[in-house]
Amino acid sequence: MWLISERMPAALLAILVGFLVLYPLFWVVEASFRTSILDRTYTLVWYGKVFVENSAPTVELFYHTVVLALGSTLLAVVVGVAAALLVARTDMPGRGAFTIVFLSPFFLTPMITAVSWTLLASPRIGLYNDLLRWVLRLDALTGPLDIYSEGGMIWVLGLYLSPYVYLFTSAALRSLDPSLEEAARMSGASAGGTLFRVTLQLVRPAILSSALLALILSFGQWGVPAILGVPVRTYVLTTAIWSNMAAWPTQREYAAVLSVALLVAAFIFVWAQRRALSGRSFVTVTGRGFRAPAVALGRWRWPIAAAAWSFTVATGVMPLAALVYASVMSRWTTSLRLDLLTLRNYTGLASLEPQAFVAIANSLGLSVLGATLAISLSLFVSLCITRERGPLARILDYVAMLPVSVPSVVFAVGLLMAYLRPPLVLYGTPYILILAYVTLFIPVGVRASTSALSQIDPALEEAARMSGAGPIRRLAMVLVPLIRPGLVAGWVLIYISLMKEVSSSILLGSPSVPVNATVLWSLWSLGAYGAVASFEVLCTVVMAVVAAVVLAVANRSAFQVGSRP
Amino acid sequence: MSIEVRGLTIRYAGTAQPAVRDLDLEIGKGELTTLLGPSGSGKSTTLRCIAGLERPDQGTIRIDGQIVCDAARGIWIKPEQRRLGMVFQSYAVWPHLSVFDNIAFPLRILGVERSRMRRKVEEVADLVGLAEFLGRPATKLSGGQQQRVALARAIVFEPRAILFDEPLSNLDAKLRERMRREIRSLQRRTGLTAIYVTHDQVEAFAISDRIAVMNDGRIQQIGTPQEIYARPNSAYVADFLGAANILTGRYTTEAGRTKLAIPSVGLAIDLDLDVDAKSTDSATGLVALRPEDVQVLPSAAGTAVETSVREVEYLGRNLSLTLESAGTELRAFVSPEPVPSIGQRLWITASPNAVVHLGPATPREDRQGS
Ligand SMILES: Nc1ncnc2c1ncn2[C@@H]1O[C@H](COP(=O)(O)OP(=O)(O)OP(=O)(O)O)[C@@H](O)[C@H]1O
Ligand SMILES: [Mg+2]
Repeated sequence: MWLISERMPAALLAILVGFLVLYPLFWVVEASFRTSILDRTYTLVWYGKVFVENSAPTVELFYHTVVLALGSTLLAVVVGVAAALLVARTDMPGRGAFTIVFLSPFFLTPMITAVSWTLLASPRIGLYNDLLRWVLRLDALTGPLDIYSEGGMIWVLGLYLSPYVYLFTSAALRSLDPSLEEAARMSGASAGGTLFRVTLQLVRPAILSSALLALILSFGQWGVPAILGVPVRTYVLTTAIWSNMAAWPTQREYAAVLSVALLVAAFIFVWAQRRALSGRSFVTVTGRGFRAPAVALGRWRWPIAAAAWSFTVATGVMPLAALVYASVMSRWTTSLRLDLLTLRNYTGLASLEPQAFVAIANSLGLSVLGATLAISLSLFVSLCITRERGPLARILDYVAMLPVSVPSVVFAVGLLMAYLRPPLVLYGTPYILILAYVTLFIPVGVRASTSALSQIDPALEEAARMSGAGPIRRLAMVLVPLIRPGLVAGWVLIYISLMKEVSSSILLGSPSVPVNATVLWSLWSLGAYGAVASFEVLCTVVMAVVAAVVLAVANRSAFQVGSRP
Repeated sequence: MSIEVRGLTIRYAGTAQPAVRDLDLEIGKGELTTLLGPSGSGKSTTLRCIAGLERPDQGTIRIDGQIVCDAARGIWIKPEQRRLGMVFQSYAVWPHLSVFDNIAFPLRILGVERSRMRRKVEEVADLVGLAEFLGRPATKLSGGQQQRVALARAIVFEPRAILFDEPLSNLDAKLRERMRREIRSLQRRTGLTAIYVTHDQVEAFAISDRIAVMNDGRIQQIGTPQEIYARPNSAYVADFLGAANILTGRYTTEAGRTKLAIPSVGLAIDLDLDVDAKSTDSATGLVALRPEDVQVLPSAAGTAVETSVREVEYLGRNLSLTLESAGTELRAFVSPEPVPSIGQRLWITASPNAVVHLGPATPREDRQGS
């Protein structure tokens, strides 16, 4: 509690963050009970309409939502755990390169991955369908794969989420005390037996927790079902909320009721995830950096490597390659046609969509600003959490983590409802996007800065205190320089996430403030594959270049904290 | 008095027992006082209260007459305004700054003008033997050198006192001795008032003007090293200072001479000196017999008591014997030659001057002395 010697700042921060998160949500809940926008009386009629009178489409909606969430989570767990085990516990060749390739789709927004998959698995024009028809000697003109389906959405979303499971699981595997596995081997268990009876059991909490995270993310996911479900009129909660809000006239009451349902589901999953994590801490973690015994794959070594590589190339590299290929072709074709090569998709982008470059600039500016504001606010929150003792710190921690359980679409609906009315009319301005970006990414920032702060010996700040430095100088001269690498990492993570953000941007972006997501959607609606592809390539290049420059500049003179000889 | 602590009490949130309770402490100008005690006895907590890094629940603290903390009246001066130097166990040398910038930090805060700052930093660096390291990044120093940076940083702004929290416990044994002498001579030369926390009684004896032995959040005894060693006021202190044999003695007076009998081992000692009235009055009391004061004889003589050897430990300079007599074990240090064998019989006596009289036995001390 040193930086801030009184309780006030912590309390004020809790109130500020609480307001940022809860005020928009309040208006969502309010709208779901309100008779109409013009009539300030309250009623259950909208819930009745959604759940009783019109229950058949609602049931279908929930069915699709649950199937998509469960299916993609299951796929993510299977793929993520398998990859983590292969990399962390076997002698499969090329594990390092495999990790990089496996994680690379992570840097694209799932909406774009979905677009890429339409190039590979559309019934008519999909490359994989072409190949399959040729290999299987099918006469049909379409199929056998159809990405525009529940299965297609599960496939794309599950693959997109598998890196989360991979990262959680491999982190747990790496920090596992190797002597636990060695003890099993000494007790006579085979390598495979140890893997299943000891290793996997020990990392089960990590797998469970990442599965719940994947579940939360898939429930809140808008991009994949928008690209792959909407064209065939398969809606899930997020796309239904969005289409009700985007429709004219707006069906705000329907959107509100569905938002409340999604919010309740998300809260339950977040609660379950916290329960899964707490109590079952990784008691086995040690600081020892020994490599765990690897399972020798023997004569299966190369076949397994070939299978793993083909899978990750077919599901991770090919969609990207298809996207880049599409961006330089005058029309999409599944064969190699050098005569169709063109740069028109790039040069003609501005005439097809006059706002394309404005949108990239907007997204860049808003992401930089949003990441900066989010990490700054998070730093103060973390300072209070790590220094304050007692219940206030726990309350602040809880409030700062709230946005984790708020699906972006729902939050965007809340912002629209909260700031479309006086006293603060923010729709159509960049501020409403900034509000969404900062609030939704406070948890990421708080995690980054809290972990950076908790690695700092408190005596380092106390020494500054004893030297006469007050709170501001302690922050500026000691704390911030010490945790700079952690802050920069947090900033870059938020910045990249914001450049990819679509779920709230699609509702909050407006003709006056176009952003990447809105332009992407309008190009997609035009059916302009080549333009979508070139636009996305541009966005990704801008995102990567700025991130690389920031990292290079910020860490140029970074020192190693705690590297005492 | 340079530092004066009255009735200091602090309980950490979430703990049942106060870490420090009703503690009084006075430290004279230019004096080096050590807080000595086992882990968890509240040494660091006391020091951090004086520093201002912890806020006490009760008590007052004065530095040079200025009240810096008075819990009852709600007075509390922040640590950055107390002008106290502090050396931390972990050094707390800032890794993002050079040696010069680390040492200059307090002067920067004071807004000292550049050329004067440079002169002052160089002067202090000279004092601690860091003159040629000023340009180095602080991370490229050995542990001992980092501790010197911390020391220089703590004294560079001429604080009212300097506080040490186990500054040497991360150094190896040889360096520890050298740094201990350097700290002492630096403190003498600068005339700084100092409080030094350690759990190492050898270090405390070597460095202190006065030692305060802490026990369970209180000061058990305070005095010069000689006083504390010669006249521990409790079994706790005697035991902590030298792993003494704590025994129950019975005092009897026969023909004007006081005799001490230690029934558990069968020792009887003629006391030349008059023992404190409190001991003789109650007729029984605890006594401490240091291992080095137990005289071990190879054969029966006079009032010597027969014992048998239970354990023999070779310590280099001497042997530590565990001797048993009538079911009670005693430790004795003897010269390393000859080495007795286990089970061998030896005789022990003790000179009257060697016996430390600790006063009447209380159940509390019995427990802690064991
Ligand atoms: N921040 C804290 N929160 C809760 N309890 C604490 C805290 N710091 C110390 N304590 C408790 O207060 C008591 C005194 O601790 P203190 O650090 O003063 O002991 P010490 O004599 O310095 O011991 P050591 O030699 O181990 O450093 C201990 O019981 C300790 O567990
Ligand atoms: Mg301590």
